[in-house]
Amino acid sequence: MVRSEEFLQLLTKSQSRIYAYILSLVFDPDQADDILQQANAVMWKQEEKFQLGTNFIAWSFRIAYFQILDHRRKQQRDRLLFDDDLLNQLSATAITSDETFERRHRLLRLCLDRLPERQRTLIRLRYTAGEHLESIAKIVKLNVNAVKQGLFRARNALIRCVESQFAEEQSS
Amino acid sequence: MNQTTEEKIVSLVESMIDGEMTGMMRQELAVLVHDDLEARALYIKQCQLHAMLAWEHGILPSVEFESLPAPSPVKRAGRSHFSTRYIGISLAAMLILVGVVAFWANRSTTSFNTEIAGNPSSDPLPRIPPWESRQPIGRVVKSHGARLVSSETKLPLERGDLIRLGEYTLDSGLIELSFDVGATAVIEAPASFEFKSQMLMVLNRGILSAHVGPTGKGFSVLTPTANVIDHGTEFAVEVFDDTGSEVHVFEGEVDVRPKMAPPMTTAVRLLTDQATRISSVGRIPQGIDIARERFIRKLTEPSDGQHRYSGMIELLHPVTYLRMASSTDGGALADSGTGNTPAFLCCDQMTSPPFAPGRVGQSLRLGGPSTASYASIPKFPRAMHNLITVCAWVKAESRPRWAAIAKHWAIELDLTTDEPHGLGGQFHFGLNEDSGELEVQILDANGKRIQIRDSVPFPLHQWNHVAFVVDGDSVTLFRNGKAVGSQPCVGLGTTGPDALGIGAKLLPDGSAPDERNPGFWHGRIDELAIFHQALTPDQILSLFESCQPETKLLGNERDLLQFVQKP
Repeated sequence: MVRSEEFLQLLTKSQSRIYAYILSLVFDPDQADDILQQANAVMWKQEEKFQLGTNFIAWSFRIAYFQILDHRRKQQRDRLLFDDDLLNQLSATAITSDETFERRHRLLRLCLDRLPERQRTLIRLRYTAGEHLESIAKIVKLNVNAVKQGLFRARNALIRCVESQFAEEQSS
Repeated sequence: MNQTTEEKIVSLVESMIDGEMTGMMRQELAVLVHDDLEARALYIKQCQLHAMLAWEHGILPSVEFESLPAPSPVKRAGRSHFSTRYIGISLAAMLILVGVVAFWANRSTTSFNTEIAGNPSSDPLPRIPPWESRQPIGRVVKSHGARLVSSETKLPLERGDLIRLGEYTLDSGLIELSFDVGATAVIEAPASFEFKSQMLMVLNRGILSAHVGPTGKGFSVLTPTANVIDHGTEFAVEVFDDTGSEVHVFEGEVDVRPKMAPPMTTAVRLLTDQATRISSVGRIPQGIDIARERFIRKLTEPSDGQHRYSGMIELLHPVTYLRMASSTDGGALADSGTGNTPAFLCCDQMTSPPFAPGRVGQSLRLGGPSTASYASIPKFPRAMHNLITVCAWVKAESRPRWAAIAKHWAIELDLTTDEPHGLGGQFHFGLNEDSGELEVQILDANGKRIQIRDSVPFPLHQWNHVAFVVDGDSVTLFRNGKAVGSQPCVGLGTTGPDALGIGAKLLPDGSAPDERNPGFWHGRIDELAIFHQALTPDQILSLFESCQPETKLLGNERDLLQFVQKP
């Protein structure tokens, strides 16, 4: 089957939003990775069911949600950390919060540029290289707590910068 | 939501994304966000930030589908908190991983032993050491007319200088670098690039030819539009001004992946003699023909014993022999002939070096009328005994009016009598006016102008061996080993200007190209040799044949001696 380029673009550029949605509902990055892969595969197979021009995010979140449910079913009940009620609460909040995802993502890029070079370096090391905290600590010859603190400060600075820029845009 | 709850949520999310979250902590997080919209919104924004950062740095998992060939699996011994996020990791991320890890690993210990670790109130993040403190990764082994500077220090780097991690610009000329990992690279200006590690280079602009030995397998080049990973080979990468890239593989294997490729697209595997182009907005590689002759792969000419043609020429004792290799200062051409006469380049209007792969080693690359570039021998040693042979390998991209191969000529024709006047000259060797046939004109000992012209326009886009011989009684014109015309003459005149123009006809004083008919050559000129003797037709043919595929391999001494001894 020949996939349309538009569908491919939608799927590609929405990966971070779908991943964020899944992660917020499963509390676990590894599980979020697996579920994202499964959701992608389902979306790929069901492309014909998606009508170009309609809301791709809503469609992809729905598929991801069912994949999360399926994943939960495969877990033993006693291993579930929370009930379906919280799952629905998180899903609703995530969908609402996603409405501003693109704008905040754009602002994040600006904020990354404004981050002090040393914090930027640590974020880059963490996210580009995907190093574990211990590995980063070894690489930069600092202790794990110092690295952890540095990452915390960097992420916190980014969140504050994005929120402040967002508020500024809203008010102007 | 109070501040304590907020801090707790942020802390728990940090633990979650750093892979340090226990079951108890998850349970605690679930409790905190349950029935608290504000807490949930905060939690979800934290998750979104993590997803955005992962996306920005290219580490979200690649999309894989059963119906398509999966990318090469990345096998991992164990599953860490980050492991699955890197299954199917993009090539870009892998390359940057290599680069960053090597970069930090290569840092000197002292540069990192800051007091920060012992001072919790200080920012615990490290500083990047200054350029001169970084680990060397290689050395500049050749520099031909090059202006290479470290972008950070602005210090010019010359032959013998160390190359360290960091950014560089090459404003002019050519450099050859040797890397400690067992790779060499020739870079052509204008270029800007960065070494992120011993195995990872970012080429933002310019032309790179690399030869990677077995120990350098995995050497990678990132361009604005493609990730190129080598598997032990010789290849070239060119990044154009519009950020599009081309990759050409001369030998071995190279993987090329467009940066904008859809997630399920595998890298294109280029083998020997294959090439691909990634346009500035390219998502799909476009196969193209390999262009071996576009890239300079070495800054040295093969020595006389390594190429039969140059060996033959040397044994015939040319007075002038310009191999057309780039020189250290970039403005001179070395003369391997017995005259050892200085020759100079005039190519101010060319943005890239006037050299390109030739028929043997490098050649002079001239841009025709648009660049007005040429070379000259200010004190040309004239042939004084009625005998001369001039030969060269040339390639034409177009046929500019009166395009010059080599001209020692300061003659104007009287419009009414067609008689030559002026300083005179020994030869006028190039293409005929606008019809573009190979032609030669000489003035014989009686001052008579004699002209010979080929019967067909000069073939474009291919190497041709061209020669003319004055043997005292006649002048003969050759193309690709065969005589295309001959005329009787009486010896050879000895008048003329001081200077010889190569790729242009010069003014009588040699100071600049002729204003009316400069004859700028558009293409390449290689192995220009001038003998004060008349080579035989067999010798001209043998010179031509020595560069043909079946005979281009190393000659041996006996062959060469037999060649020279031919009557």
